[in-house]
Amino acid sequence: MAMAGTEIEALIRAEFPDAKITITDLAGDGNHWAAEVIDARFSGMNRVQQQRAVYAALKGKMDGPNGDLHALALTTKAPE
Amino acid sequence: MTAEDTIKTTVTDNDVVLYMKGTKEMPQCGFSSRVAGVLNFMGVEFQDVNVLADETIRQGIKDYSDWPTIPQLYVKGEFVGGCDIITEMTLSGELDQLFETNGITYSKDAAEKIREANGGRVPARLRAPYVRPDPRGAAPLAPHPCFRST
Repeated sequence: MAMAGTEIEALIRAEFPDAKITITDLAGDGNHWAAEVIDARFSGMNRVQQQRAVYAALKGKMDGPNGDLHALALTTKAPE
Repeated sequence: MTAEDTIKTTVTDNDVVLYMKGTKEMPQCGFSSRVAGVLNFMGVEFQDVNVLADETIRQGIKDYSDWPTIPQLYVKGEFVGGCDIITEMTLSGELDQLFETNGITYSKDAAEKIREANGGRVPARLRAPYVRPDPRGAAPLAPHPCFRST
């Protein structure tokens, strides 16, 4: 089951209300997504911690063959 | 042994371990292929673990690192990241630093070649989130694995 980009953004937005979130459909197939999340909460966290927090916001949508989200490339950072 | 014990032993006994789909000679997923390709190209000796061969390890490694995706790279027992993080670290030179700090042998020349072929060492804030395909087809990072594997 593919997910809509707006749905991905809404899940991330629920956890990171003030973040700058950019969702890109990489392959135009609604199945391979990229998300860039820029949020002040990320300052002082390393990349693994930042991306773990985003994965947590996605609430298991990435989980294995039964997950709704097949491929999501993440870029996370704190604002400059 | 539980999956957790097996994983702990593997990442402790080997300096560099890549949990991946397929093997380093025959990766079975574009993301795994990309990270294995970078390590191979940089001449890094690493232990590959094919998660497709063992369902308990496939789930176990996700629980171990609290990370939902494969591939996963470990250096000296520490989880470093998945495909996106390794790509960023390769391009920024942080992966070189990590190997140097941990006394892991790698080819600096090869690492520079990857960076040259992917637009050089660019500050992360100026970089597109994705590595663009290299028209010369020389770099192991490009094209994006999704377009290659399906």
